[in-house]
Order: sequence, then C-alpha cells, then structure tokens
Amino acid sequence: MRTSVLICLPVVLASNTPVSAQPQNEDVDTSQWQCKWCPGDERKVEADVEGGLGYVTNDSYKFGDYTGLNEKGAYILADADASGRYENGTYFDLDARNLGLDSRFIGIEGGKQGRAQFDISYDQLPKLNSDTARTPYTGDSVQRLPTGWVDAPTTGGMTMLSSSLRDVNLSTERRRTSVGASFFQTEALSYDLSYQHETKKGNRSAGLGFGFSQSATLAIPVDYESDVASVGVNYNAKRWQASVSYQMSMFKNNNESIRWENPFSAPANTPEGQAASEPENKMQMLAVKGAYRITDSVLLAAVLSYGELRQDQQYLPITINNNITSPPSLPRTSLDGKINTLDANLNLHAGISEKLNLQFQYNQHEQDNTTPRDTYIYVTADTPPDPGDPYPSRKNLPYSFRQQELQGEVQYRLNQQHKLSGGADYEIYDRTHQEVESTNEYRLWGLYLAQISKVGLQVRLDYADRKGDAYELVDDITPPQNTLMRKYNMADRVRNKAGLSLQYSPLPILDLGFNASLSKDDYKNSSVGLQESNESSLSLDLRYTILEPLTLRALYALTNIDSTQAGVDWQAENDDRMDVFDLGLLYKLMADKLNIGFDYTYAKSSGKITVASAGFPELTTERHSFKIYGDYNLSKRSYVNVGYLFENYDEENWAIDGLTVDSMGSVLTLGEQSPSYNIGYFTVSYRYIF
Amino acid sequence: MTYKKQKQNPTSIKSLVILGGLLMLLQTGARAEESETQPHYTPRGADTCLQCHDEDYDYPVTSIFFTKHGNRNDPRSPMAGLQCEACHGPGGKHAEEPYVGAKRAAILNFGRDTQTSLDKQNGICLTCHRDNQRMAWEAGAHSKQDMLCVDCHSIHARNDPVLTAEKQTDTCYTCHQQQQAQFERASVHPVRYGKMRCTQCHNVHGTLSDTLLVGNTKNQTCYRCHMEKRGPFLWAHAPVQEDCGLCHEHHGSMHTPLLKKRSPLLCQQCHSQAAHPSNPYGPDTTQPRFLLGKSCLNCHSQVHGSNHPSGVKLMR
Repeated sequence: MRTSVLICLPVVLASNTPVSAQPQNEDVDTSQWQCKWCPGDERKVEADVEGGLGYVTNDSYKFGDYTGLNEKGAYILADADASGRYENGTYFDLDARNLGLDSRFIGIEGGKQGRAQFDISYDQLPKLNSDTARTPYTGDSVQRLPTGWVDAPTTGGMTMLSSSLRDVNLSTERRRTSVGASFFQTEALSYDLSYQHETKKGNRSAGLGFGFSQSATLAIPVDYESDVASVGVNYNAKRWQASVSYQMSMFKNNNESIRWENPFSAPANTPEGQAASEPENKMQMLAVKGAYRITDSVLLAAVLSYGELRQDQQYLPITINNNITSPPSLPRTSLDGKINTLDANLNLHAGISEKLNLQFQYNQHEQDNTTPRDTYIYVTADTPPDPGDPYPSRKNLPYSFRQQELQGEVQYRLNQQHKLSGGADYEIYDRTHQEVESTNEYRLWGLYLAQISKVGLQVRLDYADRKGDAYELVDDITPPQNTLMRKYNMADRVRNKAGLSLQYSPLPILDLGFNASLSKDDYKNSSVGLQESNESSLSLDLRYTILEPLTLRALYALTNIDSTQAGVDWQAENDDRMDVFDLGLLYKLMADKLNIGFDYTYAKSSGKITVASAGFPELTTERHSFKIYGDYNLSKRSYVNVGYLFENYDEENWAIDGLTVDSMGSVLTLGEQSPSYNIGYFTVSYRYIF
Repeated sequence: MTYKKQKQNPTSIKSLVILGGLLMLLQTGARAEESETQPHYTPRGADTCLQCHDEDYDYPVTSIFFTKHGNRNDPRSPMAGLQCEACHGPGGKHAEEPYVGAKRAAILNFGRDTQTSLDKQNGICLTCHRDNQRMAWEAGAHSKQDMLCVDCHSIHARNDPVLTAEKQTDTCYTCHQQQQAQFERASVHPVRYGKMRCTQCHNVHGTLSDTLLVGNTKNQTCYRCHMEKRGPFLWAHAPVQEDCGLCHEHHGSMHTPLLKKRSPLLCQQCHSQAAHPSNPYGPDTTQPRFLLGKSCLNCHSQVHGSNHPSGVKLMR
C-alpha cells in the first residue's frame, strides 16, 4: 500500500504552481481601484459584551449536566464577543461564553492575516452524573469502610450500613487548554503547530466484585491528564495540495489503581481487593495527505497515516490478598503493549463529461497488535481458590484488525433537475484471535436527487450482504462460548435500507421538510445472539414567516428501534421509541426594537423489553422545556435581555428506581435513583455593542 | 500480525492509477472547454460596487470588510486583488445603467436562486480554499449531494453563523433533522448545550474516511477525547478495539451512557458461556444481581479493557 501511494507522488510533484489567491487577469487595469469607500479602517474594534444574573429555582444534577447550573441560587452571566481589524493586517477575535458558570469557554485568535495566526483557548465541561448516590466508603484510590464495620454474607446483615451511609455526588469536570499557531511562509506554504493539555477530574461509579457472587459499587476517583502536540506543513498549489503532519498524544492517569475493603464476609479470607485504573499510554502518528488535479475534471486524493500506540505501565500485583501466601508469579513486569496502525485511502474522481462522474476509492485500516503473548496465571477477584484447585491461567489475546474496502460510484446528471448515482462496495475484514477470521461484504446502493422548481427530493436505497468464514470458537477462551452464538459484528447479515427526503418551499417565507428512513438487519444464520435489528425514523419540519415580524419553526421526529435476540432456549425483544417535538416562535415588534421569542421542546423516549415472553415495565424519559425570552433595544448599541426557562424532566428506570443500597443481598449498590425535576431558570442581562 | 488467510487487496492501487489514466484519455475528448468571451471589469473596483451596495441597500454587503475576506492587507484575500469581482466576476456590464426598459446585466451571484451553476459557484470558493481541509471535497457526501458552499456559509456576515459554536448546529440541522432529534435524547454528547460542535468529529468539507470523520476511523475520532480507552490493554475487549459504535450510539441514546441497548441484553448479544451469561433475566428473575443496578457491570466494570494481571474477566 505504501509503495503504491509513493508511485503517485512523482506525478503530484510534476506541477508546483502555487495556488492563486483569486482568478487573475493580467489585462485588468486596477490602477484606479483605491477602495476609498471601503469601510473597515475607521472602525478597528467591535465588541459585543453581555453581563447579568441568572437564578435557578431548584437543585438538580441532571439539569446542570454540561451547563453547571446544578444548584439552586444565583449565577453570574457573562459573555463577550470582540474582534479587531487593523490597517497593517493584524487582527484578533475573542469569544467568551458562560464565564460565570462551570461550562465557561474563552478563546482568542489573532495574528497578521496572511503571515501568522495564533490562538489560545480554555474550555471547561462539567459532566454531572448523579446526586443521589450513597456509600459507606471513604477515601479516593484507597477506600475504607467505617471503623467497626460489621461484615456479613449479604447486605442485610451489615448492621452498620444504614448509619454509615454518606452522600456522594458522581461527576467529572474536563478543563482543556489549547494553543496553536500557523505561519504562512508564502501564499502556498504554511506550517501549523498546536498543543493541548486537558485534565479530567472527579469520580465515577464502578462495580467491583469478590469471587463470583459478591460485589460493591463504589464511587472511584477519576484523575486523568492528557497532552496532545502536533506539527504540520502544508503546500497548496493550483493543481495539487499536500500536507504532512505529526502528532503525539500522551495519556496519564494519576490513579494507578483502586483498592477497597470487602464489605462482605464472603468469600472467606478475602478482606480487600485491588483493580487497575486505565494505564498510561502514548500514541504517535505521521500522516501524509495529498490531492492532485490531473486535469480540470480528474482528481486524485490520498491519505496515508502510520501510527504507533504504546502502553507499558508496571503491572499491579496479581493479588493483594495476604491470605494467598504464595501467589503465582507474573510472566513479565509490564505489558510492553504496542499497536501499529496503518490507514490509507486513495480516491480517484473523474468527470467524464458534464453529465457523467465516476469515482473509485480504496480504503485500508489496519491495527497490527504486536503486544507479546504470554500465559498469565491469575487469581480471580482477589479470592483464594478452593483448596486443591489450581490457579486458572489464560494467554492474552492481542487482537489485530485489517479492513480493506473498494468502492466504485457512478453519478449521472440527467439534466439540471435530476441526478442519478449508484455504487458498489466490497469489503474484507480480517480479525485475529476471534471466532471469524475474515468476513466479506458487498454493498449496492442507488441515489436519486431531484430539484424541480420548489421541490427537492432524495431517494436512496442500500443493500448489503455480509458473509464470514467458518465460525469457530477461540481455543484460548474458557469457558467457551455456546457453539450456536454468532457475534453480531462478525455474523452473516443482510442489510436493507431505504431513505426518502423531501424539501418543499412553496413560498419564499415557507420551507417544509419531510425525511423518512428504514433500515433492516437480518442475521439470518444466528440461532443464538442478535437475530434482527430494525430502525425506522421520520421527521417533519417547518420554517414559516407567518407575518413579516413573526416567524415560526417546528420539528417533529420519531425513531423506532427494535431488535430480536436469542439465547439457547429463550428470546428477547427490545422496542425503543423516541419522539421529539420542537417549536419556536419569534416576534419582532416596534420596528425591531423589541424581540420576543418562545421555544418549546418535548423529548420522550420509551423502551419496552420482553425476555422469555415476560415484559418489563416501560423505560421512559420525558422532558418538557419551555423558554420565553425577550430583548429590548434601549439604544442603537444597548439591549436588555430577559428570559425564563421552565423544564420538567422525569425518568422511569426499573433497573435502579426503588433500589436501595442493600436491596440486592449480594450487591452493595450506591442506591442511585433516576433523575426527576421541575426547574425554573430566570435570566436578566444587559448587552452593549462597542 | 498473522492472519489465517493472507488475502489479496480487492484490487491493486496500480490498477487504479492505470484506470485514472484511461479516464483522463476518455474525458479529454468528451469534455469541451468552455470558451466564453470575458466581460469587462468595473473601472474602479469595489468603489464602483459600493456606489449602490452600501449599508442602506436591500442587500447590504459592507460587513464583509470586517471579515478576513475583506482584509486588503492579506495578499490571499479577495479584497487585496480583484476585490468584489474576485468572486463575483467582471462587473463592468452590471455597473452600467441599463437602457430604459431593459434589465440590468446580471452578475455572477451565489445561492440557489441564481443562474450560476453549482460547479462554478463552488469552484470560485475552492480556487482559494482547496487546502488540506478541503482537498477531497469531491469525495465527500456534501459534494455528492450537490451542496453549495453558500448553503452553509454567509460570506458577507461579520460572524459567519456556521463558524460559531452556538449557531453551527442550526445550520447543520437544516438538513440533519434526525441528528437534531438524536441530540435531544436523555444521554448525549453535549451538542445541544453548545459545548460541542458537529465539526469536532466531522470534516464537513470532505474526507476520505467514513461519514466525513476527522479521524481515520471512528475509534480514532472517539479517542481524541477518550484516550483512556485506547489501551492497549493486557486484557482487551475485542469490540472496543474494533468499533466503539458496536455498543454506543455516538449522537445520543435513551440508554445511559449512549448505549444501543440495556445490559444484560447488550452483552448477551455476544456472550453465551455456560452459567450466568447464557441465562434469561426477566422481570421475575431470582438472580437480580445480573439484571439490576449496573447489571453485568456490577462485577465486570472494566468493559473497555483491563491491565490488571488478574483482570481476565474484566473484574480487576
């Protein structure tokens, strides 16, 4: 593959005329083109600054998810948008949002246009998962039970449990700082540099077990750091473009492990456990991209990237259970894990005539996992084996993948209104250490596009048939999978899809849209596993300027996803339905001095699950969101904005609702409950445009 | 790595190159070059245009001077060269007063309601913008669906909405209503909160990867923010390494965290070993620990892989 791409490079290098900034015409006399009426020089800086207060009426983690508006009370609202353009070509753009919230962002870009560009930004993202969790544990990477803890075979016997529970909120927060620079040596040649540092701190829930029957869900710490640095050089000529880039990224975990005490008295002699946190890893990638316009209507484009992912963190001990006096030894002290990736795409696009276009593409994605294989003798969940039983062992399985795909496509424009496209793809997917060594799939598709007067129409049909080699159990996996199981990513499958999109604009003030799609996956040879999966969706949308000052937008979308899967002697059905209705009204009054808007969003989902003919209660999420807002133009440059958002959210989830920390005898949970809230959010702010 | 069968490539690249040569020969005869007589340019460039197109005009255009396109100090910008006519073409005829009763001569204009062909409109933008982000425009879905650059971009606006975090999704949702609905679901990436843009995962100007992803593959795109999941782990979970989308709905789901369906059924689509993985867990199960709370993840919490020497069962 690499050789083949290199064959093309001499062809690419044959033409190196730098890209023209614009269509040039040597005969144009521009001596009188003074641009003396061009605005811009007299107003160098523009800024739009908004500040105010918001008030949230109730506490809710779910409402505050991704926004930081999770607690009842007042919040500072601060946003700014500014830009400057100067005579010598220097400029800056500033964008600042949510400065008073935990979801704040500020970014500045500047430089001298056509010479250099610099940017720096800071972005904060709160992810709030639950504020209803409770635990008897304290600590971070080492979690202890309270002094005097009474263990028992089941949660019912843990007599100190209820008195020792404390609230623990589950959340993480990302903080990302990015800097970048681009230098334009000539109109064609430029260089890019970038660096990004991100931290993600907080906690998350994790189920951690002992033996095969007991487990506890803990709030475990999250303390990640990552760094990404990249450099690149780009050359953009008239007929060809090329770029070479190198990226290195490093992930660091400040928690090597989580260690916790067993709240159960079982299994015997198992007082404590330790689990590994995600190990540190490092990735490097070198990418070459290029495109060459062979003629005005034939374009060759290619991407080739080679990456290396490494992980070699020191192993934790096989067990920390001191009752296991002579634990087995490790075959090595760290994994020396290494995956080489090769990604290549080659695309040839040819305009044969004004009406006919052909396209061919070859894709290859490969993950070559060269991690050494060894036999690991292990201790299951820090639990001593039964007397006389040997320690189990397993060889690690460094999975490798290679996907090769060839695509051919024909586009034929019947006339300005109608266009037909069709294509055929063929894919071979190779895997190692899995049940199917190779699958192959061919796909056929057709697309009809029409733009007739005020109607836009798209119809698309897809058919795909995937077949695999013999399905064989993986010898190293014990106990083995059922021989009838067909994993759905490797199973034989026939896929049919159909899609219809219709856009109608009968008036300049009215746009109507309708989209519908159907997808049906049939896993025809799977007697155990996923057998059928269907998805259907439709949406209707409307944008209408009812009267000149009153505009309306509306959307209704429905998605149904159902599937059937089977065990050896049972079957299960999933039927999910998701509805979204969105309505927006904007009314401009008093010659645009006063704008009043109203938004309403209704999002509902319901999931029905039947296992062996027994139906579960319906899983539901339902959100009503009403927003009314207005802005009044006090003067040419100043505005007062007021807004009120009311949101009602309710969720029904039988997997956790009503489940207390000790409801399940063998699992000590966090007792998280589904969120539900009614919240009002008032805002008032003042905006000034400098 | 070693494979049971060393397959040949579906077709060799060399064949593609030869095919390309043949296509060039074909199209040379088939496509006649357009020979248009070039109309003349205005006498004073932008100053001619601004005689009419000032801020009080029906179609005010002057905000372009507060954008990068309007910066005359950048030799790459249209205003540094042929000014308005760099994009709109020679406007000499258009600037002339028409005879009484005659229509003003048309100028090259952009949008769906103009006579300018799609290829010509996009070609003008690509004259300057065919760079490392747009070099494969023709290979992308948006090009194949006859999209115009100006369907999404407002060139004259001081702040092009599609380039702003708050407004970008509105532009994308004009066509992608299903994706808009997906981002309203209960478990989502933070797009509807304005904390994530479509372009963080998709290069809408055309890539050679699936669904216009910014990474070479879906996983490489996901790993840009979720590096902790890329391993390599001692005990890897094969589908994780293959495709995040086997278990997750990347835009949004009703099943937290963006899962295609609930455990244990999600897991039981692949796991059928004797004992608990193969049993049905209905509402009347006597073994709720396999169903309630975190279900399979009550014990097997390391579903993305474990680096613990005893983490074979993804419990450590």
